[in-house]
Amino acid sequence: MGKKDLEPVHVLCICGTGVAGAAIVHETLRTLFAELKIPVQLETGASIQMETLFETSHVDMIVHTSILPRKFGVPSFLAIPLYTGIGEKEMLEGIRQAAREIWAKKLDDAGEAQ
Amino acid sequence: MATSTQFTPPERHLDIDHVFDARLVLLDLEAQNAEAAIRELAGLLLEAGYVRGTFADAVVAREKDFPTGLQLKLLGAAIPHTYPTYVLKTGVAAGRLAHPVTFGAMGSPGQTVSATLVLLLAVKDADSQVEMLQHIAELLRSEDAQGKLISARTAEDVVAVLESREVHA
Repeated sequence: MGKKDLEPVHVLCICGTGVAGAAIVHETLRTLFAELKIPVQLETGASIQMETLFETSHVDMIVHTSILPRKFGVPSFLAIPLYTGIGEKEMLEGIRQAAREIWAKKLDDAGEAQ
Repeated sequence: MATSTQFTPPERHLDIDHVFDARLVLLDLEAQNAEAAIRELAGLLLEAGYVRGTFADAVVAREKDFPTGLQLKLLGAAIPHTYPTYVLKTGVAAGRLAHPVTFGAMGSPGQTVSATLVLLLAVKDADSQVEMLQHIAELLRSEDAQGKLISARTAEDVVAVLESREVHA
């Protein structure tokens, strides 16, 4: 009987091609999570891969520059502000807040499973 | 690309040699529409050996599905691109339009952007080019860079702005 394994926060970084925008989102989040000192697993992909990516393993958050095919029921952030600068601070703060809440819940869940 | 990140981000180097080039810049570009603007700029990349012949068609097709128009503070811009398979080496062709051209707005179906600046991105490998892409995003966010691109008078001026590492908000 031990603690449930503590998984990093799993974030999908999504854009139309799964190439340029996803890479920018990935890099931004890498730094953001490092500053928060919250372990993260970042995965890049294209909008069309969303269903597969979402089914393959538990996803905690989605940050995307293209429209998602549907709502996925996890915190999702449209990351256009990374290109335009407009609303960038608010978006990043929203992501930080969501990351803290997700991590706090994981810690809680891990603590309970003893 | 799937990674597990611990707490300290490693240092990375920004490699933008040959990505921006005066040969890849068109000022006062005349184009009727987004497709025409993309094809003009794709021609520069093709001539200079950055992309395959099929690149232009692929970018035009992708732009229809996933538009790249961005309403920046001082001007409208667009960053059309396509999958790395069409690219031979990473480069960016920059066009400043004589008359703004309509692009669909990225992430906002039904909305459009009247674009004066088009950056046609040829990305060979997003993983290894991520700093270059971050650099472009920083440039686009910067009102200072936006102003300089609007008032640039030569292709060399444009390249100097695109390459500048001191990007101020």
